[in-house]
Amino acid sequence: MRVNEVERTLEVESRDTLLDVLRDGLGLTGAKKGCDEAVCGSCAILFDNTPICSCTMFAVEASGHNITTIEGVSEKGKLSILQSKFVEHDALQCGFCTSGQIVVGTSVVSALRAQDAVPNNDLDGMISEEMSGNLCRCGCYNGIADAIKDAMKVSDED
Amino acid sequence: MAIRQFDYFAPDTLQDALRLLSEYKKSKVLAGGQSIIPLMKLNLVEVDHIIDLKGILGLSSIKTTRDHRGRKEISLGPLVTHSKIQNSEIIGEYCPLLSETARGIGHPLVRNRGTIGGSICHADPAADYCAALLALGARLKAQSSNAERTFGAEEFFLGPFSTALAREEILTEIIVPEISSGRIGYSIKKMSMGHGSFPLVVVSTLIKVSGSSCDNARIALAGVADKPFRVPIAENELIGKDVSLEAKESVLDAAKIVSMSCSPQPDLDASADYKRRMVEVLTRRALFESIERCG
Repeated sequence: MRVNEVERTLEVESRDTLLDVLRDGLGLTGAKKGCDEAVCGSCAILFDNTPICSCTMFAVEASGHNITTIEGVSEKGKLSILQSKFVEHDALQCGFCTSGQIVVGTSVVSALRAQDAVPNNDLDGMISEEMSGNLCRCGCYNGIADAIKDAMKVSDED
Repeated sequence: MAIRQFDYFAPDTLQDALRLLSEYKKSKVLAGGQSIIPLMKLNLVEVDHIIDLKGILGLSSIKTTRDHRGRKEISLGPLVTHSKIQNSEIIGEYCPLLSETARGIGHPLVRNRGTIGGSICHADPAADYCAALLALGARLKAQSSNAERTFGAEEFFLGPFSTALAREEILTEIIVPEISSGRIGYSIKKMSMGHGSFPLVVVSTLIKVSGSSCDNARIALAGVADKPFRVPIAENELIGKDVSLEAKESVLDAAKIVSMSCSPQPDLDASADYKRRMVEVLTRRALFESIERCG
């Protein structure tokens, strides 16, 4: 599979989840095992550009596909726009859910930028719904939503 | 808990998948994995062989077809994800009840992986699609190595986590009627403990109006019995009634009948009485919304 733009080949057991293989097999410990049952979203990664829970997928299912983890969001150590906005808007406290929030948030920002109109003009409602798979026990939801809305306004060249 | 070891196959063809399913007696097919993988982690299902269907072409399409009377239908492959259903233009135009059902399942990360086929075959008696498919009168096609069978939605769900599929059969197609022409209104209402949590009660209704009177009504429930079911006595309350004038009384009566016809189980989240009361409320809301959507 291709992980953060690099081809990786590993021997795994079929019962190993993608989350376990990313963390233990590849040392990519950004994705976290929060609930291990696709409720909390702290294990979220992009699978062929689509956000999913890596805990509820077998690593073997990823063969031949593209994976982006939080480690792949920043480029050469430079924070992405959304990552900078997370810092600016105080969108994290303990940081446990943050990897998942940023991975899914990145996808939401791209999708919102690509859309012409937001249904019912309810941007807050839409962000709330699209991020509803990412729980934050520290309660940073307002900061997270603000970071996403702010990141949407910034163009790629900035 | 560690998942028990199993062998993983990713066949290219349906025939290969069916052959593997027949050969290995403790095998299960894998679609999106959002139901089966959590069960495997809890050791609630014994699986020695997993047959991943995702490499097989042709199981995730959405297209329009015609039934034997020339009426438009929508055919879905079992591997279509909830997200794809939610965003599908074809389904949004011709069968929006399915779009709305898909939109309410879990949360986006689950919807990006979970599939309609997987959800239906898992057959949790409270699952969202069960109620919608019953209301729609959907047909389900399945294949085994040597035969193809077709089921009506009502004969497909047999009990909790139990469908009419034989062990060596694979669901290959879900067919729903088009509900956008003529004056047909739909609704799906559910109650769960939190946004995206597993539903406790689901009510789905379809109302068809001719002139100003209701000439067809379908009310389907999930979560309040060991399998989803319709309530014909309540449906008959509405048929023939003038929707502009008499509807309100009929809706209230129908909702009461529906609530009395179910036998919900109490659980950690809600008592049986509370669920029964919620069935009445949700049925009322669903029927009013369906009538309004008839236009």
